[in-house]
Amino acid sequence: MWREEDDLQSMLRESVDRYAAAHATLACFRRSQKSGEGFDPGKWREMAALGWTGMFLSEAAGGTALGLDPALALAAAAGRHLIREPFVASAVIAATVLDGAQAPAARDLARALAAGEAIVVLVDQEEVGAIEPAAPLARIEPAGPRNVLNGRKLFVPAWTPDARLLVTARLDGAPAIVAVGADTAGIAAETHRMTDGTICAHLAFNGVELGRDQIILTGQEAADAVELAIARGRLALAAQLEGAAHRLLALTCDYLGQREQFGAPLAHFQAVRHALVARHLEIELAGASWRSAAAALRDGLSTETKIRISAAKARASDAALGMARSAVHFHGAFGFTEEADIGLYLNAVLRWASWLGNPDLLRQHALALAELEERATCR
Amino acid sequence: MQVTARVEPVELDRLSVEEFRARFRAWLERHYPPEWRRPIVLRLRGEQEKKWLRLLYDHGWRLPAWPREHGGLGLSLEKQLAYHEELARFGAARFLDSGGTMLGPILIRFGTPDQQERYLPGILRGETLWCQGYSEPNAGSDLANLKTTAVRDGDHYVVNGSKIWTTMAMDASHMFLLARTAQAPRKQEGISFFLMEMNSPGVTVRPIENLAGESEFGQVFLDEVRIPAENRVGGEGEGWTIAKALLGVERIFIGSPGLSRDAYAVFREVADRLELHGGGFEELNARLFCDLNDLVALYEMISSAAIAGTAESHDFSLMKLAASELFQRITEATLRIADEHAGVYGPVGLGRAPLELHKIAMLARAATIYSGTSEVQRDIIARALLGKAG
Repeated sequence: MWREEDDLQSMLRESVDRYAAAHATLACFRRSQKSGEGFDPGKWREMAALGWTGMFLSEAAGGTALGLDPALALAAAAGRHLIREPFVASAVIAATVLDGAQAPAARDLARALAAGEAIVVLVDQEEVGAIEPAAPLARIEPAGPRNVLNGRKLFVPAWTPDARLLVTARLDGAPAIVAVGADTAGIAAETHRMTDGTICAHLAFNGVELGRDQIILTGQEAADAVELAIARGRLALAAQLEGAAHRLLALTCDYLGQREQFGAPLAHFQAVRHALVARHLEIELAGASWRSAAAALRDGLSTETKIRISAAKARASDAALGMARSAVHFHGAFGFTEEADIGLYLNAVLRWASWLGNPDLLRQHALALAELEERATCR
Repeated sequence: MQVTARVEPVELDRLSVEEFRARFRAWLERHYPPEWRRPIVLRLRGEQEKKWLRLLYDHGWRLPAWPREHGGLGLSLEKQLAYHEELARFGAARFLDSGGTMLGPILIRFGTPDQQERYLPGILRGETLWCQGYSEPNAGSDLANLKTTAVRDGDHYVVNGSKIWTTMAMDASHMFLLARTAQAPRKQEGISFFLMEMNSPGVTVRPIENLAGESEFGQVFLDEVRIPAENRVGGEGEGWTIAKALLGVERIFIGSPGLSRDAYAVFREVADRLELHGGGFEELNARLFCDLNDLVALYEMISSAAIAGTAESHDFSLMKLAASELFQRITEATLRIADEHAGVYGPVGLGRAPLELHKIAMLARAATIYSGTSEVQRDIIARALLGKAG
């Protein structure tokens, strides 16, 4: 086994395992997919009590400040158990933005996130298939004595009507991030049920009034915070996808060992064995790729790091999607039923694989960055 | 030959891995014959290989894995990996060195002091070249099915049979081989391990030209060949165990991403010369770029696990499978983007220094066959995933 785990990581993994067993996370996933109810605030508080929501938040803000490696171990475990509460969207991405901000409003939100009292999400995307955060079209403009926010945003994750939003927008020609409540007047939400049991919203901001204290980051600091948040988010999704793929592989191996046809377990047939090895190889590449990207990120968000993160998310997406499709196939007709758990995984990875860049776009992104770097070093 | 620059192994121990790397790289820059700097396409053989091994020996860089009491460098696995990686990154020609990488470790582990004394120094100094006599016409992937016999006759064994796909058979002075000394219920039993001089009476070599147009391998006929009994390594019937014992951590080197990296550089070179960009090419390029990125990541992970002693045998199978198949995929993609140039026999100019597209593509075909075919590797990996097949 080449995957290594330190004491903290194995402790976290076991804690997620216990949580998943206690809460029957797969059953919850199935239920929420049917009802479209979104996630449960009670559970979010429970996760906060376990320290999961504050891993990227300072101790001063009530966080645990455990940082990247433990967070990735947790994401992998969350993927294994299909925990659909918004760990990546809120505890990784939004927390990263909050951790980079000194404004009192940001500190209050950080405290609420660490305590599990709020779901905080980054509201950034304005176009489908966006890979690099672009200069936002949303604007913060003066309107009389106050500022107002105008613009549109797409696929805002982990939507709840009382979410706290960190919205990217332009202020005096430079990027900025403002904190607003989702229930503020002037915000219209069009919601979409996603295949992982969560809800995404397309948001329209029409003259949303802002106080000065709601602007939590501006200029380069705002741009850097978003970039780091997306990078960590991609990496966490890669880990989560690998976790799900791993679980699917195990479930499929078990099934193939039990199910007999032609007088032998399916696991004895070479055609099946070799097809499964191909999936296993993809998962191993995914596991290695995101770990190598994580190691690079520890030294900073360089171009090389971004290349590896994009490659890792692409590989993990393809590995998980491929494994999920094979898992359904190898379970035969049973795999095609609603009752089989593997279908839940297929649904979950569909969403995770398409979020923050689909595999094709991310691969091209990685290559484009590498070529830029090459040209820069040639000069 | 100048011997003054020789490094002492203990001196290498004092260096960090990075310092060690830099030291070896600097040595390569200074001493490596520039005409051999032809990655993928050139494999040193015969006198060339001897010259290279001797150069390494004279300068204290010979055999990173051998223990020091036997004249090797006795390096940590981490430094061994760095050593091989530097050779690959430098663009050094391939070399087989069956004596150093295959036979040496076997003799060190299973040979008698007399056998060690007789054979190891010649391997160290690059004076003897060995070939491996394992495969037979009807024993390839199913190696244990081998039929060559060795019958005891006084102080000798009389060997009859034939070995095939024997790489460097024409250049080797010696062969280490497996032959059946007894018929046993299990085919893996009754096999013994022998050392043989290629100029023994009854040995005939027929070169076989490969797809890349080279006669690197051949068939070796053994007709009443007398091998002295003291040339048997280990006891009678221990040959299979001995041959398999080597299939441990050293298998990691077969899974190195070096060939894929070199092949990708050729792919990019072709694309540059043809000024390809955008559309389908971009998509193909992005995929190969990321495939290589991930292969390197997996190699690094498995290498550090091997250094920590936690890597498992099937991890090396996975690496070999992944590396050989990517190497092939890259060479296939190169031909695809080369358009008409893909059909050119021999080097392709494309306005600049020739690229050996055809030869590289043909050489790549062997990668999924040698050292355990992809199917054999998949069987090994599947056993770890799903248990035995029936």
